[in-house]
Amino acid sequence: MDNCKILNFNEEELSEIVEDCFPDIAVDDGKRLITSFIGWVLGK
Amino acid sequence: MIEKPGVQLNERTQLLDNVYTFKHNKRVPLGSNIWSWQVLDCGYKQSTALENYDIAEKINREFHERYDFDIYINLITRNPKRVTDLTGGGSHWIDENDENIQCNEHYCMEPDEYDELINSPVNFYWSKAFPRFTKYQDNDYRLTYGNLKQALSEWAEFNKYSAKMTDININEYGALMYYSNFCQAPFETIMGNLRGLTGSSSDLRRKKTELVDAIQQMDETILIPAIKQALAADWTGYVAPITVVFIAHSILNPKQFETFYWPSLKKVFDAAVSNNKRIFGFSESFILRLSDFFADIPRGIMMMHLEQDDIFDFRKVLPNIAIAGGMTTAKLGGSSKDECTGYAKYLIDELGEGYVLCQNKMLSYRNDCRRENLLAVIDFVKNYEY
Repeated sequence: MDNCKILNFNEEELSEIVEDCFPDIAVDDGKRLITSFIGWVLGK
Repeated sequence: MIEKPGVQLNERTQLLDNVYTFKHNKRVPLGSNIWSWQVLDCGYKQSTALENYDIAEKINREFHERYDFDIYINLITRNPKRVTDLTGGGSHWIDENDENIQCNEHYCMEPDEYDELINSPVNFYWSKAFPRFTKYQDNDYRLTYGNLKQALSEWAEFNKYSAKMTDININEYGALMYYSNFCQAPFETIMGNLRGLTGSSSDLRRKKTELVDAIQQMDETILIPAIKQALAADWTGYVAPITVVFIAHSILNPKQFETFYWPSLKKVFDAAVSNNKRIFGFSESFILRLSDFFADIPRGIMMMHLEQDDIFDFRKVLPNIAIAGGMTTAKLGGSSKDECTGYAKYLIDELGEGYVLCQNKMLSYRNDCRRENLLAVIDFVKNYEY
């Protein structure tokens, strides 16, 4: 799974990534976490 | 190791309390606005410092033990290269001589995407902004699930490193930090992170309604929660609980500032005044031309670091705001020790109460400063009773 390339950047793909990266938290929480990360990294 | 960091911290806190309230101090406090120069001064390459947190800690320690500033702004925490390298590299890069950090003009949002930003920020950031940041359009590069997972892990590592450096600075060295809880006007995010300098300049004229709508929405969802968090935070070890960095104001005339920036900034000012909380402002460009917006802030609330304004004019026009800055790179990098200390004396004699002596511009390049000049200024300021 780690070698899968992110190709579409759509919601379905985001959900898949969240389930893979954060299997222990709810999908919506994982999405919010990734959004926080993106908001932070965009300023870098 | 400083023997009594708690005593040092209390003394420095008292110095800053007096600066904000324009009371006389036994000496003027010393601030550091030193960035990439710190790494060069300690004999390292930028890439080494950014890649290795153990070396970055060593540099921070050596730097503090050499200069012993009262207040710091940067603990090699500005460029999280280990994170950005995993997500396409970002817009910052180290120059070919490995001496400093450069930044390209960039944008992650098209002018017709304001509605998406307003209506579904999660989807917008994921499906539009992030692919552009990761250079998705470059066919040679594709982010993998593993890259993203590793980047999130490195993000956590970076936050740990950053927290550790701050803790060392405050609790081991008894020194203060300038930056605390950021309460930025959303126009800063729009210019700096999303639309870039060129795009946001164009939107001021062509997308005025959309821009105002986005700012209002971001005020509610981002700025107001940030203000609440800042007001509730323990700010021991910081000069103020609220930090505002001014960069995007530089492309606004006063009328545009009133429309696109002031409604957000006023929320920060009103919250600070009504709760009697302090603000540290850092202005990366001329700001005195917008002085009318700052005239009513009561004394005791705000200190502004000035990178480019004439510091003496600022004191005359806005005597209600304490000031940090003044010591120029031209002096530190291009004159003698005597000239530097003479200028430090002049700054202190002219500004005195309500003043922190600090380098005006971010020290970034090797020639911005000579070590012997900086040491001479520090020695002078610490012993000069004005």
